[in-house]
Amino acid sequence: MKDLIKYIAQALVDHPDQVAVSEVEGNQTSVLELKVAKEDLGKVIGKQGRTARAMRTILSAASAKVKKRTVLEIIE
Amino acid sequence: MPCLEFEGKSVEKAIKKASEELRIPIEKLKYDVISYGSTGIFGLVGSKKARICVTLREPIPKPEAIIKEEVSAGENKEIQIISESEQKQNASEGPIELGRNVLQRIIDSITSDATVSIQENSERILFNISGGNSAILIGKRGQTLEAMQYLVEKIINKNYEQRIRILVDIEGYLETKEAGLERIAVRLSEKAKRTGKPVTIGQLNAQDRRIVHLALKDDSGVRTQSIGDGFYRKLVIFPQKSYQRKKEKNT
Repeated sequence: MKDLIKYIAQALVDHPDQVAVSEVEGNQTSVLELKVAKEDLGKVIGKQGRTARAMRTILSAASAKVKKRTVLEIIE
Repeated sequence: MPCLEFEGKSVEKAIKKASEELRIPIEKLKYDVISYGSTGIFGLVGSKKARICVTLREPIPKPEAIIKEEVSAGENKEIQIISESEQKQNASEGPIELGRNVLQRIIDSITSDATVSIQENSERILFNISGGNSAILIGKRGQTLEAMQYLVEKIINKNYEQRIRILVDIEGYLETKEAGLERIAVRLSEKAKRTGKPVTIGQLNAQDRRIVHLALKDDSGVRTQSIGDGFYRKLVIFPQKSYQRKKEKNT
């Protein structure tokens, strides 16, 4: 899960080396924290949050496979 | 002070190249980093080169000779860049391979045993997914499918200058959806004509709205228009007044 988000985010930004994803695991829900370079913040959020929404949608589809919930947070 | 630019896969390589071309030992080279390179995806696509700017110190032996060398080095550099970018295009096999790799990776994390086949025409590249758990891949109201398409398109277009349009389909889902939308469009236009009041359809994305607009384009009894912004953008079907009057006259 973590790798997937990292992979997508790295493909979207200008500074892939500054992409960091950390996972806070819970019983049912885990939280993914995505950190990118300041200039790239807009790239992972997108117009009207569309990119962020797309990533969250894919994340929830992927976590349905392992019967869990995953929340994506983009850290400023 | 004269400043010379050098490129390389990494800053170190750029420095090495500079020292070789200028015949100055690395330790004595004075430079500023213009940009650090990035390897891009798979180290093939979208890689950016590291660039450094070498400042030449004044006491250089035979400055003219070096400047001459600079010029010739600059020319060589340009030729090299062209051939390298050509190589890059060939090696990565263009946007199709990139799209396939990205899409396959996303699909694999959602479901297993799904494969991607590709059709290409002049307007867009069509990725067709088959196998696996298609229900999860499509998602509620096709939202997962849409998200995948959006992200893949975005990633492809980030790496290529030219705008490339793509379409992601799962076992004919798009066609079914289009037919469904057209049916809804016709039904709602009938309603608008019957009641004489505008009918709105919300919650459609741009492509879906386009399908509805096109479906009702040739219907002279109604006029369609999109109203509102962003997430709240709606499509409104207006009954045409002239049509209404004609109808009243007839009855």
